[in-house]
Amino acid sequence: MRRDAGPWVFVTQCLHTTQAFLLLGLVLAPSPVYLPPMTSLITRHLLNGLITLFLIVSLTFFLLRIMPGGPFDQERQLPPAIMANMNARFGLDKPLHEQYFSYLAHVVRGDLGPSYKYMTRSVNDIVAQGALVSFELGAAAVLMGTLAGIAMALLAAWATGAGTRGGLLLDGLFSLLGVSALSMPSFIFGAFMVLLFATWLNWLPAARLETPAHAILPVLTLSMVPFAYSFLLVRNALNTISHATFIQIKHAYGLNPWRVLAKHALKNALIPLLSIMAPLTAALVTGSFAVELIFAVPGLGKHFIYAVSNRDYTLVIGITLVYSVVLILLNMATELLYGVVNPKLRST
Amino acid sequence: MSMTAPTTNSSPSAIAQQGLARLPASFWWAAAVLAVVLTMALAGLLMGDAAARIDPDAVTQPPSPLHWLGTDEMGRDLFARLSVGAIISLFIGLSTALVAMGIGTAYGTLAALCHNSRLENVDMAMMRFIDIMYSLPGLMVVILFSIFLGRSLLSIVLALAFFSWPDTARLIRGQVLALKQEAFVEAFTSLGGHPFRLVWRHFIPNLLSLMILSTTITVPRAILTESTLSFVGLGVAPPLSSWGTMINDGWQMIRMAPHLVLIPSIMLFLTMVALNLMGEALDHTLNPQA
Repeated sequence: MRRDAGPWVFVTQCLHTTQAFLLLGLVLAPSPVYLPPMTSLITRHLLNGLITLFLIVSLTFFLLRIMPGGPFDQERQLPPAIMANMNARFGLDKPLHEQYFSYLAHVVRGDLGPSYKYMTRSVNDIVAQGALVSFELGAAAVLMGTLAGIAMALLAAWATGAGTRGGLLLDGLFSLLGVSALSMPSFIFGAFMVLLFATWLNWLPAARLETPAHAILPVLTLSMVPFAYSFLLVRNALNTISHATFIQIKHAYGLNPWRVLAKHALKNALIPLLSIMAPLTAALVTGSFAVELIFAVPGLGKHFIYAVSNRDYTLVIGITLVYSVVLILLNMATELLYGVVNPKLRST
Repeated sequence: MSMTAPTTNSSPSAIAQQGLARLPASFWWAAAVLAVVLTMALAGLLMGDAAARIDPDAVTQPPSPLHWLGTDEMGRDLFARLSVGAIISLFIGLSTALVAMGIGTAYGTLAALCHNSRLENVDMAMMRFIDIMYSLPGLMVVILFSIFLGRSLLSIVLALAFFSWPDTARLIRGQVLALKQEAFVEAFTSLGGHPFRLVWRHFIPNLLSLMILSTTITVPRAILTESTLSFVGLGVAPPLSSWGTMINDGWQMIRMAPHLVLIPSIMLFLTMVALNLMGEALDHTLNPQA
């Protein structure tokens, strides 16, 4: 393969690929930049998304190939004949640019190729299974965390509004909790949860995902980040809005302060929450790597770590691609939702 | 603040004192915690190889007068390892933030200068590139990059910085766009001032508080990401060990010696809280209208 070939062969291969890469980039890249301004938001986003996906596939592909080590390297070297056969079977003996284009052609058709480690399973298969687990846990965590965050923000704002000593204390306590949740690396929180509920109290199972009870600790751990973000954002927004004239007037009318808060102030305070939906999911991904490892959850994060360590090229690209698609769709949804809640933004 | 302006002296030190007085109490708590961490890092620098010294007679011991925080499964002193880990965490956090701040400031300023000029398309393309950066799954590409670059401290810093600068660039661009509306900029340009001088003498001093703020946001984020990477075994490579590595090591024997997980975890958590509180306090002080 390429490591046995002389340096010149490798250099010319690289040159070929760079050329092709540049050409493709030239064809694709300028289109969204020079699009007429009338084109709808969705088309622009979809085009942007496609370019991003193309970049990600290319970037990951070349990063992985240039890294030292291959998928069939083991502690005990395989005999060269077997190695050559293995490489031939997966097309790893062809020139790099040929591999790249045949891979791209497969990806466009929705085929992420075979996994080099789980010989019998396709990447589509592994990713589909992993994604199901990861997204289920992630969605539950976002939902729970956000709802808890909003509820506590309302409570804190209500307590501040009451203005009593106890109220201020409650607000301070909640804020400390929010900052702590923001500062707590999820793997530390997860480790504490396992130590407390599984090892010492023995109430909940520590690892694996077999029954719904097994999901409690991972979801709780993952929900820390959405909780912290939504609590801090909504609390600050509520504090700012409480000084607005329309809220002061409602108070002057003598409306129930809780009603003013939950009905009128909250509606406006939720808007900043929209802007963090995408970064929030990204943060959840960060958490999920360590959390899936701690709780032995067979999700995408755990697969990714093993795939990177094993140089399972196709699986790494597949998982990266799936997360990118999710991120792009979320970014798009966020902007579209902005247009829905704030008509001023629709025209631009 | 009353409308009657402060009549006391307005020497630089007096202004600095007023600024310090405006900082909330949380800032000083955070500063105290960070001072402890910094002292540990300094101690770590002076310790030599104490963190690597193996004592076969004292394996997985709880805290004692000889080993203040106990020893790990190989008989290494936990306090020494924590101190060396502190150097790594602080180094990665600070240098990532500095690199990201440099790239972000340059990029944001350049984009803002191109805005509403003959080079409008450059600004648009630059912003489009940032959009693309935001739709990359950051952590995954950080992992790939840092492995690609060789898993050294420097490669981790570069990989982290590569994904931290867009936030700074966006903030800076917004601020420069606002600055460009100011009368003094118009005066400067109509007098024929060179753009470089404009940036260096007028924009940079006005951007300083924003640059400090973005640093205080980046440092804890970089430390968090690094510790997560080290915890899953893809962070700093073996001869070095950060707090994340130590927690991972301790995790293997959490039932027998929970203090191996608890102590580095508490350290990391306190540092993160302190950094976040400090950032928030600085944000309130430097940015009072927000």
